[in-house]
Amino acid sequence: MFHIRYPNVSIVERRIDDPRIIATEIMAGGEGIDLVGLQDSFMTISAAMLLKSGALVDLNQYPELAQLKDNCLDLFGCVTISGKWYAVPETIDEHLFQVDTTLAAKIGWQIPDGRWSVDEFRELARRVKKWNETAAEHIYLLQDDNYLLPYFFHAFQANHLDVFAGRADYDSEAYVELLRMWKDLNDSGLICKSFNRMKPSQRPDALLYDYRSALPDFGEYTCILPPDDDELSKYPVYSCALAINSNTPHLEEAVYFMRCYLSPEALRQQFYLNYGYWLKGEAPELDTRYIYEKVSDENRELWNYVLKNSVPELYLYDISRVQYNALFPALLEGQIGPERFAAVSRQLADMALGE
Amino acid sequence: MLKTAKKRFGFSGALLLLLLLVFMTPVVYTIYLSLAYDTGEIGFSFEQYAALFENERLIQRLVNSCTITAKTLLLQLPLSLLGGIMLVRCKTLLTKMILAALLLMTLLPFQTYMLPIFRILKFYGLFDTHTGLIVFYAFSPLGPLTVYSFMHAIPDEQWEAASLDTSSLLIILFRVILPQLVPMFAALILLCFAESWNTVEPAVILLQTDELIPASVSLNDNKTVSWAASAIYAMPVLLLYVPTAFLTRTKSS
Amino acid sequence: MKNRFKTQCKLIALGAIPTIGFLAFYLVPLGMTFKYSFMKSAFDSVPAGFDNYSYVWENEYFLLGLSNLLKMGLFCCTFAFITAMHLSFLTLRHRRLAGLALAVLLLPLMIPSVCAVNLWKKVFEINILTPPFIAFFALTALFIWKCAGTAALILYTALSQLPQDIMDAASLDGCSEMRLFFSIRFPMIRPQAALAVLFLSMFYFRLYKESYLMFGLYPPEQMYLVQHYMNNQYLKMNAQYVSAAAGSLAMICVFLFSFTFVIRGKRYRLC
Repeated sequence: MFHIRYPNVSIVERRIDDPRIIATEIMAGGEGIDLVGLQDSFMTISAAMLLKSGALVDLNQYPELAQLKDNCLDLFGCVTISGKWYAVPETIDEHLFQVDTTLAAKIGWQIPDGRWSVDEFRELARRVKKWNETAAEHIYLLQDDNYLLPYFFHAFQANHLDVFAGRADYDSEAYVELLRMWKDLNDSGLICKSFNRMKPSQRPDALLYDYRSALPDFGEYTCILPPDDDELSKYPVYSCALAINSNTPHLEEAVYFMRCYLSPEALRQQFYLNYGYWLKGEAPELDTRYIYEKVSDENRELWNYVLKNSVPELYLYDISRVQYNALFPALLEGQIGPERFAAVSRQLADMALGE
Repeated sequence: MLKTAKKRFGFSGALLLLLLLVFMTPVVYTIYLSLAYDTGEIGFSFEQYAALFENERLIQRLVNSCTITAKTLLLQLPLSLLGGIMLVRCKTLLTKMILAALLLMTLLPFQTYMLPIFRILKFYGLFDTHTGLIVFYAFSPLGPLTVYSFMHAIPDEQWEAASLDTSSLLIILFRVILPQLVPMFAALILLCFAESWNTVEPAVILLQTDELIPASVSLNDNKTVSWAASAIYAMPVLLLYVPTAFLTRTKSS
Repeated sequence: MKNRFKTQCKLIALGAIPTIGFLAFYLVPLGMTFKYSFMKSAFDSVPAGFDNYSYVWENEYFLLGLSNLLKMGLFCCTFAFITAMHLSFLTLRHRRLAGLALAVLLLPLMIPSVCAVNLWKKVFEINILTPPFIAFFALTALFIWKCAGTAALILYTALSQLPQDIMDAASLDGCSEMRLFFSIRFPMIRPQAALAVLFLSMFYFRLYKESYLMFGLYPPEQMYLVQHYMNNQYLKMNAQYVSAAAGSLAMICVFLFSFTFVIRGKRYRLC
């Protein structure tokens, strides 16, 4: 599609791990980086920081791109910060909690239909803990799939991290309470970690499984929304996205490439996990060569709901890395308390946002 | 007399040896860790070195390091000497300003001019080439400053006395001045070698093709062999170091 | 006069190539950096006047970095110099060990930073929860280990070239070793001592590399240097703030150099 209009422009994909190279090439402009593939959890520079510095083009300036959004579901919240639409998603991964219905029936838990609160989650934790005290077998409340940080902290960060205002709220009472809850859950043996998206048959006995993926992967499993409350009102959605470098000498070509990328024709043929189901009013037949199961209507509805109420899952990479490598292990081993964890996170965030 | 001499050595000599031991400990410990078992067992093993030498990518990078450093030294040493001599003997306002600029550039971090140097090398077609990196280090301010610092100590009277015998600047330099500055050569070679051998940021920014990158950039990439990699990477420096230290010793004793 | 002019011309001709190279690869980029400091950003070349400088000088982390740079620098360089003095004095007393001493003392500077830091992290168990005073001590110890040897070499070379008859005469007059050192030896090697301090300062400004390898982008507040500020702004693609910070640092250095020159000039006039 792109080469019909620009036959002499070749598209070269480069993988750059070192953030210094990315920063240098983007700032230098010239031949180098025209489009930037953003993947926040692996990048030292957060997408929000890039947007704040002016490195990424605000795509709202281009009406032809904005028009193409109308063909799609309401999913652009995951690539919009402070009203600036900065990228076109390549993949969108959401958190949904998969429920082990057998265990739910065993402990007599009524699976919520729709939204449920963090307080109800705490109540569920007490129920599972009580069950474990009397039953012969031990069951876990939640299997955490090790996406750098546990879900609740992704959600807090996504709702409270405001790079433009320079705010992170790590020292708020709500964050400390979340840390306390997480510590209690671990101390009670209610959390187990898993890796690399285990299939249900491979997982240990956990009532809930925090699974982050694209829609086809949820198949027909029983899924529920993650718990929310006033502090975690929006759902964090992780996306790999494509943005335009402000300094590119090929702005026109880059914008046209984005148009092609966002066109219905391209969306239908996209990466195997996004078979055009981003398009409004379309429910294409998903190719079963690549996906595990057929997707249920309930899951599709949940998925759409999360997207409508989504915020980008943002990272301040160095801080998230420090939390993952040092602070969470120290918290769970009892070396530091939630207040100290929050204080250290706050100090780091103040530096990162205040510079 | 003997007792006094022994007593003199006894305390201060022991203190010196102790301090030297403290300075040597990290190096020895690094070598020890490179020979230790991964599992923490007591004993020596060459498994880290074996794993290291099976890594073709690392071998290629070590070769790149040697190439870059050798070529840089060939260029940097004479340029530093020439620059230093000019700064010492040519006492004009311009040279004083150049000296101040050299000092300033050694103090500012590389991030200060990382972006402009990237653009300049791209403009001259030297980006992503060993030549670009070599030329960047060849004109580094460290060399001329080192030469200036040592040569500055030589009194003007020596120059003037030598110039009475000959008007040839080269003869004055090679027969009178430079023979006194053997420690300077040792320091210059070592500092310039260490600067380009241990390059990280300039190499990261100015070289992007994987085949061109030196080992200093990726010493920590593979955690299981990082101690062996560190020990191996320090070896050439040590090998260069021994003759230059010997030169220094010979001159100073 | 004519000869002198010819010699000066020869010297300038000799130094032309390194000077031009230095200009092209260092000073011109520095000039470009200063240009960025007066632009709105790397993505918008609209002139911003002194806005970037005001932003930087009003930023608490830039000021924190600057004050830490000066405080830590004073501390590190002083202790490294004292260590170097001790080492050079001890080496002078035991010249038989001079070769070994110099060989060992220069070794740390040759070891790649990443090797040294790995070891330090293992020994001091450096992480974000390390108490600040331990982190400070670890970094200072690394600096002294790495750089005191070079300063010791410079001081030892100077001390060993002092005329022995002056020392003998002072000893005959009943001068103790300490008095001999502080009243005679040290004043005679003041230029070399200044050179040692200069090298220590140069290496201190490069200590950022080790600090970054040890603590990452955001170290404890007490260790946060202005180079951290500049590096982090660079990664956030705020080239204008990097340049403004660099410009500010350069102006401080120029001010200090000028101050030193003026003081030296006044002392010569007083003599």
